[in-house]
Amino acid sequence: MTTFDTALVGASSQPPHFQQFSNLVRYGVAGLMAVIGALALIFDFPFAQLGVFQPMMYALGLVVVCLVIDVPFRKLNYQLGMIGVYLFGAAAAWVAWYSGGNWLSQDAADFIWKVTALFSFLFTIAAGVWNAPFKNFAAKTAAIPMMYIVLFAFIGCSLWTVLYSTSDARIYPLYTYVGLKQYYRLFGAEIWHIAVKNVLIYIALSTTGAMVAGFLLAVFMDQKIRLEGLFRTIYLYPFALSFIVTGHVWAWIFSPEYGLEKSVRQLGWTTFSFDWIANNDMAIYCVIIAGLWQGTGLVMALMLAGLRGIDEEVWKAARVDGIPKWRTYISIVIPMMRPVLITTLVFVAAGAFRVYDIVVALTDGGPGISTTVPSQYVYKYLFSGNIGQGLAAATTMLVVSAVILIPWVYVEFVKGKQIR
Amino acid sequence: MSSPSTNIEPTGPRPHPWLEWDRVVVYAFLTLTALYFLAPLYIVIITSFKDLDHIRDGNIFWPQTAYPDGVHFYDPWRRAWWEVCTGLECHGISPNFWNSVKVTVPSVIVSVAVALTTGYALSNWPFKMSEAFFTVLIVGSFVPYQVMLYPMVLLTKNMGIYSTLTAVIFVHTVFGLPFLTLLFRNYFASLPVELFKAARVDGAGFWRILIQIFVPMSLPILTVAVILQVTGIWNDFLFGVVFAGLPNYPMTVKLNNIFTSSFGVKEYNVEMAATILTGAVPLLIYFLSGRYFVRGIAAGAVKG
Amino acid sequence: MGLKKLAAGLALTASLFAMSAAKAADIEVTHWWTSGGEAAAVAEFANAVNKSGDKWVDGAIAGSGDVARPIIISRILGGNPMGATQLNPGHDADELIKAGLLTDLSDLAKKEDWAHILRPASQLASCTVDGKVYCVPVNLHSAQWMWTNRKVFADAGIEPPKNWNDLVKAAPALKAKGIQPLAMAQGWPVGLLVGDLIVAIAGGDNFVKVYKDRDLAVANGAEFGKVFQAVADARNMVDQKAVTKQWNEAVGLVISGKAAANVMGDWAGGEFQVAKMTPGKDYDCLPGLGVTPVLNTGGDVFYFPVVKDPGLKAAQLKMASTLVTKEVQVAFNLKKGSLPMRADVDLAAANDCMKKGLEILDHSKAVFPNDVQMLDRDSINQINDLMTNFFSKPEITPADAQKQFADIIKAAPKM
Repeated sequence: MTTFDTALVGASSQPPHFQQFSNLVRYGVAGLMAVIGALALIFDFPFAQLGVFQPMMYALGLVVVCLVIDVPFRKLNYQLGMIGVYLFGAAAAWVAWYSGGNWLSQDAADFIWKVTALFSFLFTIAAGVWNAPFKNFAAKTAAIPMMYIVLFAFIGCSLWTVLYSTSDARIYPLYTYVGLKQYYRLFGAEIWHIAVKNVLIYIALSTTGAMVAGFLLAVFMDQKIRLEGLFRTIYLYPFALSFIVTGHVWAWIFSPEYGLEKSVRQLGWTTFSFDWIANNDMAIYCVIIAGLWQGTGLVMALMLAGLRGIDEEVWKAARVDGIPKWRTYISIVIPMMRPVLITTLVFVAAGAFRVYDIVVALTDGGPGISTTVPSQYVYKYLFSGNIGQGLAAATTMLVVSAVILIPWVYVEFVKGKQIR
Repeated sequence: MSSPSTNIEPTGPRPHPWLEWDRVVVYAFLTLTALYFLAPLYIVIITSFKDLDHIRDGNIFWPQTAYPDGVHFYDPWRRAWWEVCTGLECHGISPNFWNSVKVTVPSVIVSVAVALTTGYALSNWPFKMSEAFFTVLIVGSFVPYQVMLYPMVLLTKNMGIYSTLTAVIFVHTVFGLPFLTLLFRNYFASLPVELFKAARVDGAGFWRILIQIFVPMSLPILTVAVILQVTGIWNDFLFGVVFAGLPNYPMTVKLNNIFTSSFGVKEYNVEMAATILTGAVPLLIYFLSGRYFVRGIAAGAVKG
Repeated sequence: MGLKKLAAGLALTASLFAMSAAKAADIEVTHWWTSGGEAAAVAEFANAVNKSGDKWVDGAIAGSGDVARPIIISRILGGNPMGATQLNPGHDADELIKAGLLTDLSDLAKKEDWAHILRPASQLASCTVDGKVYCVPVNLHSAQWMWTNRKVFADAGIEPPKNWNDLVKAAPALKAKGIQPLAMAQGWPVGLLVGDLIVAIAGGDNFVKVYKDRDLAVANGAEFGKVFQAVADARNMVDQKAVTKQWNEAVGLVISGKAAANVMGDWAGGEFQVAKMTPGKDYDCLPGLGVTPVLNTGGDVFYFPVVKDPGLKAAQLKMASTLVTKEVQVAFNLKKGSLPMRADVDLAAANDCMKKGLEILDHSKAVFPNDVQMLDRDSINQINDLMTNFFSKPEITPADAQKQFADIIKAAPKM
């Protein structure tokens, strides 16, 4: 599809090395300004000190820098277009600033001018990187929300989290560098050790449990049974529920006072005991049981789809060779389903890694602190008096997931066949 | 690339006759597991129709059949929907039902629209760095939300929308984007490329091709995306708590509030009724659209 | 239509809005008073505010302070604050005040002479930062109370306990009868129990020495060693299966006679009152766990975030003033089970528990600050986590817990 991208609108007539140099300058300045813009948008930095001159400096700087650096090297129509964009950005910034507090709220006005300014910056980057921002203008415009989200929500917010995890911020996010102090405390805290242990148990058992049970169910479902739709509906319905709902439902069943234990004893088995939910060492398994109840159906559906994707010829060949059914599954079908298995595994494990709601609803970390999970730790500290500590825990989660995910995403999505 | 064909219908010869022993094993296994999956729903439903005395003395497996004078089987449901209190506010969970609607409808529309356009742009109008953006997006979808939670609070604060409906919609759009984009991108990539080329030759631009050709063709995947988002957003708890603000608390948050606040006696039956009410909408959607639902998660996950 | 005309019209509409806003305002109030007794009490505030012409919009957050505080603080930080909010007197709001997010009430405080009508001075001092008043204290709560159900003891043929040690002695007999000696809720109530045991066993002076002066010798010393041993005893009295999630459920177990006693602040009195029980007849309340009659000066205060709307601003000041009027103070505190901030009110209607409290309050030697007033919230959270863990795991020894406790005290930032 790249044929549509090849023609350059504003190809320069300058000698190549000069153009390379000017490109370098352009990238550099644009990148720098984008960083400043991002900082300004998220943290009011460093322009908050400038007061009323803030948007003015911004707009002015924008126009001057962009005009000087970018436009002289381009063709006329391109130049006019770029000037237009910059003037538009500057004008919008001014308007928004002047109107601030009048017909727009100050916050909204602030936001508009910052976004407009940033839009112009992005445009400058676009000019630098793509050499032709007007080519396929609509397509690039359409991708802008995505770029904003990627740049600010995913990259920007993650970087902020990493940065502030080295700070002493408590209730108000002020940056005072304290090095790795928060990490020393984090890794020394017993509750964090408990949380990590819990999430490891949860990931290990809920992924293997869901994979094994889901695969078994899928195999049985694949035996050309009647009422397949009904069974599938029954296995999968918990997946439609909120974790909060699942948590409360199972809390009721696990409750020794009202739930299973009492009822079975009432039926006559008076020594029956099932009080895991009130037991420090067992409560996490209650969370796993509830999680499996909710998640196994999904794995079953994915596995079934995978099984159905296997060619009937494979089965015929296996039958001809006299291989028993169970062996066909283990030594032929499972290897063939490797991609599905891996994808499912990653999905289930990633979900298990950020387990939060179900714990809040089912045990709220109890009894004691025995079922605390990392996400809960993060939430707890972020909003109650030690932001730095919460962010250190969040960064740890980020690093762990990045180390595991990036290679997988790269192989699966970027190098793999999914991207053309 | 073939279309996202998650062939769910059984193929091959007709089912065997009944009463072969391996059939019996298969059905016994399936029925037993089905009972395990159904049991919690059954217990919650019958509990929600009991009175408190019966809950204390009775058995969780058996429904209550007789009620004392003045007690109705629907009392807990009435209380859950209209009456149960948090603090001074005693309107039950019904206002939060409407809050959930107010959060879900715009969030679904915005997030699906943005993802549809992005997926289309990425699959048919790739540009320099688009793959890089896409990679970050995919990685982003697996990173725990807590990592981005606090800066998102600051971001929405600086946008002047923190603890409003707009903030929740924004956050749902952000965190819904990766998976939905993936869904649409893969779907559009599977459509025959000649279609797109022909439209280009005819002089149609980006938006025209999108609206006149791709949107109508994407109806199946659109349904899937909408179902996924409706259930996902309806079931969300974390963003509701952090970004919605008290007056906009969705149903899940209120449900948790009902469980954590009690006036003297804990009304388990009311709690269970509220639980079912909260789960009712996604369940209903699931039962009505089961096939699309299954196809959607299958298409999304199996295809990557 | 000319542009000028349009502008004039717009200006007129805007001024109309402004005028109507100044008359009466909806004032959203966040708090975590969601138990029966608490809701009855906060209704008194709501009525008073509604009567004053503004409208109380209730923003109750269920759970506890630990759930509500993050929501309240992030809401204020997020730039879309509520009109007023409950918090505890202490250091929770320090940084919000520094950031200029909370309204300075100094003028009002001066005008109404809060410094003289409100007592004890420690409460207003907690609201005062750099000489300016930022919150209005509405009540005094003390955490050092043990609540016992008389009927349970009568039925078991045991003399109702006069103090903690009696309860420990009676525990085996109660257990034999199938009654939990001590009802317990998970989370911060465990921290509260430990705090109470510190005061009862190690003494209020030592409590202040450790929490305020960070005296590590005391924290590691023998007196505190006894405290942790007592916590271990308490651990054995509690049926771990019946540990509740909320404090008022644990109180409910005492009310219904399933448990014999509970250690909880005086706000538990509100629950007994809702259950129509009489102190001295149906239940006993023992300040300082009956060991030493002491109280700390916890309580509740209201902060008013800085808002733009002038109408709401006026309503905030009006509300602050309303909360400390005599009638409102009496009505609210009688239901809440707490002590009023004003000494000049008629408390004839108070029950015996409140009277006991008032008596101790008059002997100010027995009154000392709350943990929140001496330590930062982060350290308190850590202590609560430690105590909750210690309490639910018999394998943790008192000596271990004491050492970890001293470490937290050591690392706590100076206030």
